[in-house]
Amino acid sequence: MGLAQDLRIAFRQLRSNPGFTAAALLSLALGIGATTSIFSLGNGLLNKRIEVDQPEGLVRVYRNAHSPLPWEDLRELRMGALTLSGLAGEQPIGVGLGFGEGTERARAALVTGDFFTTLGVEAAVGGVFSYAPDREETAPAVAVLSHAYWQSRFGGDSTVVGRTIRINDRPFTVLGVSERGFLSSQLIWRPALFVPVGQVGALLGTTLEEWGGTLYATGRLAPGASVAEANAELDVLRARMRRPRAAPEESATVRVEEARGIAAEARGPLTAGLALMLAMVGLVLLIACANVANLLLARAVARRREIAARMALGASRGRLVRQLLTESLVLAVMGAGLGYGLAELSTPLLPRLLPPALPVAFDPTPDTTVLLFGLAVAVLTGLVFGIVPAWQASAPDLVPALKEEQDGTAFGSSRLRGALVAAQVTLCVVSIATAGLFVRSLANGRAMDPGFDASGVLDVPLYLEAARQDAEAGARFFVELAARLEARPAIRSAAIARLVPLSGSNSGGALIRHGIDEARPRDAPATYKNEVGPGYFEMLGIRVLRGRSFTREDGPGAPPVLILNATAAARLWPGENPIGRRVALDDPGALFREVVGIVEDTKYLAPDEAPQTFAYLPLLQRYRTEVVLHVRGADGPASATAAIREVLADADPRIAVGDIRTMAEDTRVSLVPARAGALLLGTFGLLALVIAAVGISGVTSYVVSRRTREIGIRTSLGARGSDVLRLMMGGTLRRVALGIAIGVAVAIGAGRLLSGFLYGVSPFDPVSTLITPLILVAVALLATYVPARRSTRVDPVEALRHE
Amino acid sequence: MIRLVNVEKSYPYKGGRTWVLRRIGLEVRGGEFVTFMGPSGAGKSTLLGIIGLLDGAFEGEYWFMDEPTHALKPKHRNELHKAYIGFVFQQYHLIDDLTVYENLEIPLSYRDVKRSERQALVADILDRFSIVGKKDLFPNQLSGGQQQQVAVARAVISSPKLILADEPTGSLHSSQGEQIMEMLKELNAGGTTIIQVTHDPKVAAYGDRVIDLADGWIVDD
Repeated sequence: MGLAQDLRIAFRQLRSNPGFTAAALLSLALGIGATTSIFSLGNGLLNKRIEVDQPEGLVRVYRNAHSPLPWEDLRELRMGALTLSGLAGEQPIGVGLGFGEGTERARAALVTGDFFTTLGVEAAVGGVFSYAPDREETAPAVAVLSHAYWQSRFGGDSTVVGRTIRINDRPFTVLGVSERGFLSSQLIWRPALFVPVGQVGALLGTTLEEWGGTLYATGRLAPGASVAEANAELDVLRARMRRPRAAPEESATVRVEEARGIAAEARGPLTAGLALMLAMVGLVLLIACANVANLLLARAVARRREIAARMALGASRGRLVRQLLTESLVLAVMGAGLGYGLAELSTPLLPRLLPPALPVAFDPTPDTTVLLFGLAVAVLTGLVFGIVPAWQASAPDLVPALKEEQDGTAFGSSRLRGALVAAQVTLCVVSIATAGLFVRSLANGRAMDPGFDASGVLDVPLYLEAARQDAEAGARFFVELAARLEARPAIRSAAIARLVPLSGSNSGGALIRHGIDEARPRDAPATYKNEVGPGYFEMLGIRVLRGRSFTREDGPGAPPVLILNATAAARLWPGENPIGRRVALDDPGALFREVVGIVEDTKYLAPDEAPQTFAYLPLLQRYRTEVVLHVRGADGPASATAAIREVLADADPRIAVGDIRTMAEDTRVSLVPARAGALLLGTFGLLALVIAAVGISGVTSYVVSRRTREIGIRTSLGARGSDVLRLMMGGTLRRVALGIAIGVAVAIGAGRLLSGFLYGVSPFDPVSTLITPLILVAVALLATYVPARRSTRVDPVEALRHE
Repeated sequence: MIRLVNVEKSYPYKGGRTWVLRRIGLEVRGGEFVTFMGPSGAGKSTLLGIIGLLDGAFEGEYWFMDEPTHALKPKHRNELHKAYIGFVFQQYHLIDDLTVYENLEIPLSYRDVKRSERQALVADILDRFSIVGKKDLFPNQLSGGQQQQVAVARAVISSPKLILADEPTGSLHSSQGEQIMEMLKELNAGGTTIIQVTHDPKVAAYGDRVIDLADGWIVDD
């Protein structure tokens, strides 16, 4: 009988107390919903398998800890490995796609011939390519469109199969469309099309042998093989490879792991961010638990008589605790159900935290793993908030309870309720203060001076693969392009660069000083770098401190030069004039360049970074097919944009132009983690506040109802409404004050711990020490005043009859 | 059946103690119908609670069915209570969320009686008390007298040897009260020992023996 009866009673109790049930379910839904959402996000990024028919058995193969495999390594490993039935590779590249007139920019994926068969991906329309590993060099000029791109670009038109498209101005035949739902072997990439890696020569103007590229490898375990066995075998195979090492320090290890989540190299910083968010939602959940525990304690006092009667009828304490815990668990599971629903609604919004330009997609919608997690949280939550009230309630002083007199356990439960209110408020202060620090941090980050003038500058990504220029033609093109643009009235200045500072992209290498570091290149100082064209420093207002800037004469065939920033000059040649010195960038075999200029420091990777070494190379001497055109308009972005498009279309219609954005927007990419943190933590802080307000209001309402008789007595003895109001609110507000005091101290400590994530924010920031407590006081006053106001309308005659 | 020797109960109060029961000594034989009487605060309900094994915090000796309950652990007291004792309260104390049927079933479920046996016992008691038609009603759908009728039925369903009734007619009007007292008298005639607490001499008259309490002392037996 026991469990069925307990469940029946639980549902009846919830139905007959709608106010309590609504407050408890709201708290639990918000707390469990927030926790489930963040877990779902983490699950989508770190745990989900690739969307194919049989994802079990798929593994990722890395060089060393998390690097992609060089093409030569992959080719040899897949031919020798017995523990793998297939080993495929994928590498994203930017391409210019032509379907007739004009060229558009797209992300493609170079893949090996066994890519689709290894992953088990079939065609939705037409077919997919598949050829033996020894046939890569002769792979046909075909392409398989991704299902999503086929839908969005061609509207699902099946006649696209067999059509010829131009990729980097080379003809390819569309072989087919991959199956719906499949994006990539790397969970969050979304290439528009897949091209055989053997076509890298046609696309990039090199041969497969000379390419030297890397591929992100995904393999399938052979029947009966395990990840550990694959690890051991591949490591041995790698060590045996007789391939000249590019650098003596190159490690010979290979690592195999289950193919889950995003690639290993991106996991580190992501895991830290997720851990912070889980900690925050954990706080919200604890507040919800404290809320519900408080409500249950209040309910338990109201049920004293029933519980005493049950014990008088023979119920043991354990039996009663079991019944009360069953009620808690029913509440928790119902709350989890609502919370799961909230998570399903909210998780699709999470990818919007990323900049739209990023070519990534991930699906954080809850799956079975998340559902099981939600259930586990529900059970744990039910036990956490249910056990203390159940234990307390099951030990009433029986005789007074049966006579409906006051007893000591009611008083003890009141102390516990007060402690729970204080605890909720403490957690709430920490949540809101932490969220506030991140919001301030974001504002500070945005206001920080990057050291260059990005106002009025537009960034125009250019993709020149299809134009197929050599280095000389490319340098001429850049010079002429800048001249044509500056001839337009709507444009004031233009300059080319490889990377945009503070945009999340970076490149670097070792600085080998001539005559100093050649003997020990491993000890050479490291630097970040960029490749820029003539007029770059002048356009962005970066002062040249010594020497000169780059000019048009710093082109192909001219003496190799470079420019350093002030910090690099001071560190490499302290106290000396670095002009005329010679350095090589990247490795000892590279060209030594003459230092021709020193420019002032700016920010390169993060708005609050310490001064760091930076080197600039002349783009005219280092031709690239992917560059950014910085353009400063004379009249505003609209007229500048129109002029830019006209000039580019006229210059070479094969050049693909990416999304034109302001430089200010691009440089905010470095603030994406801060923005995501501020948004999410701000939401959690708000949730915490709502739940705490519901809890404080519930407790005050309960106090008023339990003290109705006392209010009647006091009123009949002359107490005014304000006296009664002060009495009803006073107890709860004292607990709130205690909670705020403790919460501020903890928030300051939390601020210290999080200072590494924050821009220019002190742990003693007014947000923590002043604004948050004021918010809590205001909310607590409102949450206690509204239910306490009822007490001023109590009719003393009715109240004295109240039981 | 019941033997109390020098039973006392007190609470700490402002550095001293407040006494509720003082040197209570009495014996009750099986089959007796005993009434405790006295003014409010005399300790009647407290004494009933101790006799009913609901309250183990007292000094002195309490022997029940030859078991030294004062020396037993709470678990064993609970076993003893379940085996032999039934309660009837002034406020009925039916459980509001359970039907009449379920309220009657509750004591049996706490005694781990099998389902089929429970069904048979409940059916029997419903019939015996003529409340079959009310088995699916909730307490708030019954009159005071009907509720107390169900409470008495609940107290006897597990065939206790001792029934303790604390002001069983206190919330009823006279005709309902008489009905309840007739039921208790009938049970006593069948061999069940009954100890009741009451202020009402007419109710006390249903019993064989009256014990007067005042300020925690037995003043007359």
